[in-house]
Amino acid sequence: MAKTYDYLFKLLLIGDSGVGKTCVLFRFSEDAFNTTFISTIGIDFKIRTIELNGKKIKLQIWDTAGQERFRTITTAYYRGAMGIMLVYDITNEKSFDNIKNWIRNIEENASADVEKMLLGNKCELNEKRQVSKERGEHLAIEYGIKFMETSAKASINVEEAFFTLARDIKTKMEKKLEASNPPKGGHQLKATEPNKKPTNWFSKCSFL
Amino acid sequence: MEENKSQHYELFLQEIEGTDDYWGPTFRAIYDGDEDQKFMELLDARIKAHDRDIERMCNFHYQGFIDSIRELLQVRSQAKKLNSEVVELNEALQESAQKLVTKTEELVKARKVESNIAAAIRSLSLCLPVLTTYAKLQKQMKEKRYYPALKTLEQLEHLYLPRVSNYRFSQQMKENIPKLRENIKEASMSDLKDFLENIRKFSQKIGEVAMKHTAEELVCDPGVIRKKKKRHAPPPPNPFTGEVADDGLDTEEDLSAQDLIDFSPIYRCLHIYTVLKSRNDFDTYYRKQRKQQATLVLQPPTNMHESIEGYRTYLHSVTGFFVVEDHVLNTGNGLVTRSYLDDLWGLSVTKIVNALRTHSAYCTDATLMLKIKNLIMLFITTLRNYGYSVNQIFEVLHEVRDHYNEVLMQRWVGVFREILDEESFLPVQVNNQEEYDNILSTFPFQDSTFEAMSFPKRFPFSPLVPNIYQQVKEFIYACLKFSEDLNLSQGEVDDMMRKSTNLLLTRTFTGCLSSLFRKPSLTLMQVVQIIIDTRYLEDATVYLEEFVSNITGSPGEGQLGLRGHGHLFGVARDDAEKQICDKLKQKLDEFIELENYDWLLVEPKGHASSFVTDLIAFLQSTFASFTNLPDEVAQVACKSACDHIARSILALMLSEDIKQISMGALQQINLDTIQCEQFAASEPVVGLEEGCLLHYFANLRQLLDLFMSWDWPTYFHDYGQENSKYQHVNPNMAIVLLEKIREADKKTVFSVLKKSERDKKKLLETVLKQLRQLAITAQQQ
Repeated sequence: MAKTYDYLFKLLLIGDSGVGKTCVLFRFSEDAFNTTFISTIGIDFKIRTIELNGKKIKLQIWDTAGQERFRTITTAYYRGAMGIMLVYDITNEKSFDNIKNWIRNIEENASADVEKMLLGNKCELNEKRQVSKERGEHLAIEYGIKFMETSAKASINVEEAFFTLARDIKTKMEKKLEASNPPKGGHQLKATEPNKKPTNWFSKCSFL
Repeated sequence: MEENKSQHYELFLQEIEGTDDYWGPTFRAIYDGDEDQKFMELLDARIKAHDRDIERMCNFHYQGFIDSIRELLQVRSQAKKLNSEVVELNEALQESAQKLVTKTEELVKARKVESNIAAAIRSLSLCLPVLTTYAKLQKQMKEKRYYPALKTLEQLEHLYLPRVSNYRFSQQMKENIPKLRENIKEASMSDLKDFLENIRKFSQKIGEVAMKHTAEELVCDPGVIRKKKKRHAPPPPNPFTGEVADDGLDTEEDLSAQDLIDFSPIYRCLHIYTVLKSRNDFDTYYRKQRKQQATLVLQPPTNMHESIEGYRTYLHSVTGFFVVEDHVLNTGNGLVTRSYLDDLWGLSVTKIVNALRTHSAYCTDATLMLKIKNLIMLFITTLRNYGYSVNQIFEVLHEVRDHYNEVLMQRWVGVFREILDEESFLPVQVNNQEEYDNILSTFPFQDSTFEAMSFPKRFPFSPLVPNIYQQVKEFIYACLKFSEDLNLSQGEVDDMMRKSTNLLLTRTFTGCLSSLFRKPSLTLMQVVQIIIDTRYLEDATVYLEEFVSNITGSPGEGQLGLRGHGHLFGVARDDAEKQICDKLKQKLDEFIELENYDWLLVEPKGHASSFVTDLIAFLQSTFASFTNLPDEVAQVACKSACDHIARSILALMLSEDIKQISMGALQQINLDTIQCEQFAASEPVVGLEEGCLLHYFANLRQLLDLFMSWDWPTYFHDYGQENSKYQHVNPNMAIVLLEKIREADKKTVFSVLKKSERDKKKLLETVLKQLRQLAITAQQQ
């Protein structure tokens, strides 16, 4: 059976409640915008297939609830993520300050080589801006990750951000594949496999 | 002898002396005798005797003579004098007589004039009545008092004109009389036409006044005294003079329709035609005209549906028309008969009904429809008061009511949509007593434990609940508003309420929810909240009933037909529950689409596929957050999820797109299935019977078991028996899968011609053959 995709990348959106994670995702997956604020409960995901250098890449993007009370549910998804979008709201100083805490969270729960990216959302609200672009860039450099200011509402940079993250994951993965498995004929190795952390009971059993 | 001769001469002398002339014979006689000398001497003697006598006499009379002459002389002068006197007198007389003559002549003339005058007066006094009558006639004609004119004409014709028939003018008049009659007829007809025109112009006004009176009567009628604050409209202008009566509002209050219109042209015309013996023509003409007017009046303005004014104009005109006809019926002395009017009304009522029906159907404004309803009610009452049968129009009103409810429903679609669009589907959080009270004032919610909780606290429902509840109330109120004054029985009102509220909630609200469900942005959790919300709404229907009985004043319950729960919001809730399953399935499908099996896998990877792991993790976290969802809903959702997973995996294996499956791949699927079964056995939601979720995997499990164990003898042996290990394995399914395995084998091990492989292959063929046979028998059965 012909595969509908070449790679599957699992991405994660994290950040404070209300910074617009769901909206960014909604913009990316449906190219639409919802004005009403609907707080995400627990976790949800959207899938969008993109094409990079002739490869079909499925992005399964997990949207997490920013609220503290869902933290236990959401951290469970860190581990499987290959890329993480850290989102803050440029009109909300606090959400920017909290990025540090979110990064600590990632370090504790996600795999070490996860691709990260920093997004300053709501950049269309320039008149209410509390966090300058420079500060965002500074923080990104500090952590060695990429940075973009986005607007889900005005559809600015959302597409670019996801494509950038996907491209970086792809590059990193292909490099790793080349290093460990020199290419040979036959069928393609599954993109997700190297990241696989066996978590289910069955595989655990089989190790015993 | 000498003495005889002397005597004979004496005789001659005497003869001469005795006669004056006739002397001839004497002379002859004298001359005949020869004595003539003697006679001459005798004659001379005689002359001498006479001269002596004369001389003596003259002597004797001389003095007297002188005196006489003297006197004669005197007479002459005196005569002259007398003569002059006489002449003088005559002259004087002549003079005075002349004047007299003149006077007399004048007198004579005057007498003549006098007698002429008298004659003239006699004649004139005969003619005068004719003329005055004629003048009167003209005046009456001019004043359009045709009936008196007609009377005058008759008088003139029969009484006065015969008396003066010898005059030429009378002849002319006589000739003119028929013309005059015709003129009167025409003039009165033209008056009638004016009247008809006027009545057409004013019938709207009449209708308006009539309806206003009805409205006022209604207001004062059953002791319900409402304040009349509206200002009175100025009285209508007099239809014939065009002047506006300004004698205050009180008179206007008491004006009845007929006071507004001067009906006299009708009566006049009627009289005139009666007198002229053309009554039938007149009746026909009038009815025909009015019928035509009725057609015009009954033709509603094309844009009537646009505003209440259109309806008002139309209904006023119709009312006016029939009020006028009623008046004519009562006063017109048979000009309009009951049967004629009933016929006309019968025809009209159909048209009115059609017009109202057509136009109200266009209306999409509930407020306007209420106004229309009130107007029609007033129309009905007014016409009923005038004795027309209005049942058909009542029926229209019922139709209008149905339409009104539809329109309301449409409006509430918008209202609901708006609420749903604005809705966050998050529980209402209140931070203080005030906010708490605020919510409770719009929605009846009683929960003592909740009440005891400290602020801030969260209601179990989202703002949707109080909002929708409020709107349903509004809707009920709006619905009932139409029934006001409609003289419906309590039962009918209840019936209507039940019907429309039911429709509102089952169709409108549910419809809005369905369109909400179609939104991709709606998340599973929001659907969960909707389900919870509908539960609360459902619980609150009893308060809605209370609300209705408070309004309608009917004591009973059950107006909304909500007894035996789940009718009103049930459909919406069912829909939402189904939606949860659908949303969940949709998510599951997304996971399953991520499937990336290598169908020719030699060895299983030793752990479940990543999409399955993700799927189960997702389900776990989802069901974990279903905490406030009613258990049974969560259970249904969970069951449907398991069913869907099992079906999807099975479908994946049997899919026509996959031509070959290796045993290794099958083992991987088995691994993934075990993972799912493990989840199903882990009681992801509370209250499920043990093993109940696993049941959904039975088909898949048995098929996998059969292929894993390759235990075909048991399968064939137990086939068709209850409690068989593989009772759910359908031979066709097994064939499909087996063929795929055979295909995979061909590819991977075609060169290996070991005996064991050959046996294996042979077995496979046998099994396939057997299965096909089973399938055929199964089909035949």
